[in-house]
Amino acid sequence: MNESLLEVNHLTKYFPIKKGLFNRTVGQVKAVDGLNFTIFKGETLGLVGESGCGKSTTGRSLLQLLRPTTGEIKYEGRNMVGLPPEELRRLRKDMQMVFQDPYASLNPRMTVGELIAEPLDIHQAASGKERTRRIDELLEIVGLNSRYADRYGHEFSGGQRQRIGIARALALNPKLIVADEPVSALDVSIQSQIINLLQDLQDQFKLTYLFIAHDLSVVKHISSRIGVMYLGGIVELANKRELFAEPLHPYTQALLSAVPSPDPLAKKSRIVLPGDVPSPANPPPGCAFHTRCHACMAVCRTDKPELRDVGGRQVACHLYNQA
Amino acid sequence: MKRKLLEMKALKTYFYTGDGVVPAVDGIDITIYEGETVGIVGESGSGKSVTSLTAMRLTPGKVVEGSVTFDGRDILALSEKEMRGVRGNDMAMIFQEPMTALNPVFTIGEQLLEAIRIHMKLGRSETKARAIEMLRLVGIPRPEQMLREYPHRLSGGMRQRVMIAIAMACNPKLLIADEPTTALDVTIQAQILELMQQLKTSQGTSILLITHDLGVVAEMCDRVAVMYGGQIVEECDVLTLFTSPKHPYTQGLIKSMPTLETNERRLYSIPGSVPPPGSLRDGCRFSPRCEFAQAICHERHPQLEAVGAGHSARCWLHAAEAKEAFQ
Repeated sequence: MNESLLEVNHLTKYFPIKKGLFNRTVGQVKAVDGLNFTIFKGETLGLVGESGCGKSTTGRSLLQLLRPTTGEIKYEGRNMVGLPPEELRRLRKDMQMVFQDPYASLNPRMTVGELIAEPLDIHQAASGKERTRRIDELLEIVGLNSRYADRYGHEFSGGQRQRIGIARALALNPKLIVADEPVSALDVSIQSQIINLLQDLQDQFKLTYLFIAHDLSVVKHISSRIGVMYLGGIVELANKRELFAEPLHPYTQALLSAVPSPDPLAKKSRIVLPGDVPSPANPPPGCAFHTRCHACMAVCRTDKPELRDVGGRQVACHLYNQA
Repeated sequence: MKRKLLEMKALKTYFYTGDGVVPAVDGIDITIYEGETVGIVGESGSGKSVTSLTAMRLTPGKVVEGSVTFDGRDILALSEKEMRGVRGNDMAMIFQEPMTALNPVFTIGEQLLEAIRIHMKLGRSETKARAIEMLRLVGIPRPEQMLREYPHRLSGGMRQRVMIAIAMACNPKLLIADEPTTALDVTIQAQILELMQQLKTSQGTSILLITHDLGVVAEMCDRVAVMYGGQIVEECDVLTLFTSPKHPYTQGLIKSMPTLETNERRLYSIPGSVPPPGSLRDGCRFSPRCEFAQAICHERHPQLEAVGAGHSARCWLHAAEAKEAFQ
């Protein structure tokens, strides 16, 4: 269980801000700023955070869909950053992505069969009868009728489209699937179908997931460990049970208390954060969260806290540094 | 007993499209009393937004049957000019997307002052003072400067605050909020919900809240109507909705939500998918997805019947119960 599949060391991704006649770089959006984490084989690591915190950039950097600015990403011990394209393509068979918007992520001009077979064709994994058999098999795995292979994406509902997206990701028998908000665009009654499907597939094919979402209850349900991101960095990374039982970082505490509970009798004390998330182009000095933190100290304004072990989990906060 | 503010009776709003008639809202009764927050819950295509737009007479569809009475006036019989006096003044609306609801080529000030100028007929400096007061009320820092800013300079949460300021500027009696926090992050959602609660208490505004998030419903609403396929399938107070829901659809919705408290590995899920609006069938509209469906469910359409005090459901399972309640 505790064998690492993917290791991320000091990952940063800056997007340049360009201006003027000569396209000079006048600044940088620090989307991801110094991430360290490990994904273990067979687990589901959840990444939560609000919009603009860099969780999607992280997911895309892992698959090298975005080139990281610095840092290394080790897949089974091998650094993927800077690999030649041909080798990278071979490695990519092992890692696939499921996207958020099932309406935008399926090419409207391709039939479902073509969509699912595209990865097979690119990697020359199957052809002829074998290819057809594989399409039928994949459709059935995700709970769709194999007769649908000749239809187009627009003929399906949101939930069915997401199933097609999942079938496509499964085509090459990957080991790691990065799911970027896979259920946020779906209705409540459809969400639970897709979540159950993802869990069944994990059991069946021994998959490892990086599950990115902003909905805490969904992330809690599916993940074994959860990383909470704020402004390009992980502020807390812990086993989900510990994280929800006792969140340590002030941001995690506020985030958990902000979720509306579907129980009208639950009167909980809510920490309402003042203000907005600062711009990642101009993050505050010191701890990125200090501008909204209720427990802010002098040291928080000047020194950036590192992610360090606190009783079996990792927290980036000066509150826990003395102990 | 409190006064009725908005009453919709047997309301039917149909869309006439090239592919035929789509009954988006198909016979809805909703009453909102003064100072009350009523929630409409449903999935996409259930007709919840069309219901709220019909109350404002903003829907492109046609009201084929039923009545809408607001504050003693028959909304559907008003002239367009009279209606303009009601909209923004007595009823106001907040939309889901604060980016698309604000006009990008006008400043916040121009858009906010417009509403106050038209409805309140104040002098120039009083109008501006009122605008600044509203921005301060919704918690926007530096309101004087903010009047000169354009919408794109604001974050999503700030834009939604501006929308609320515009909607509340003329002290409306009813605020219709169509998915007001769906596009926002949870911590910002918490800010906006708290703001709406405060305004409700301080101004005595009634709220019609449209949402798909049962968590938001539990937090905000007094009474709830659950919609499916253009009709109300269950209506009750918020406590009853979560403690003893009667309709299998409501039960399924509540069970299928992962919550922070539960620990089960598998989630309950309602089989099948949400029917597109207008796909009519004999019998109960939920019957193809219902695990309790009997023969009668596929043949005859159930009526919304009382199953308890202030609690009604549209389901054959409870039809017998309803009869007993009547006798």
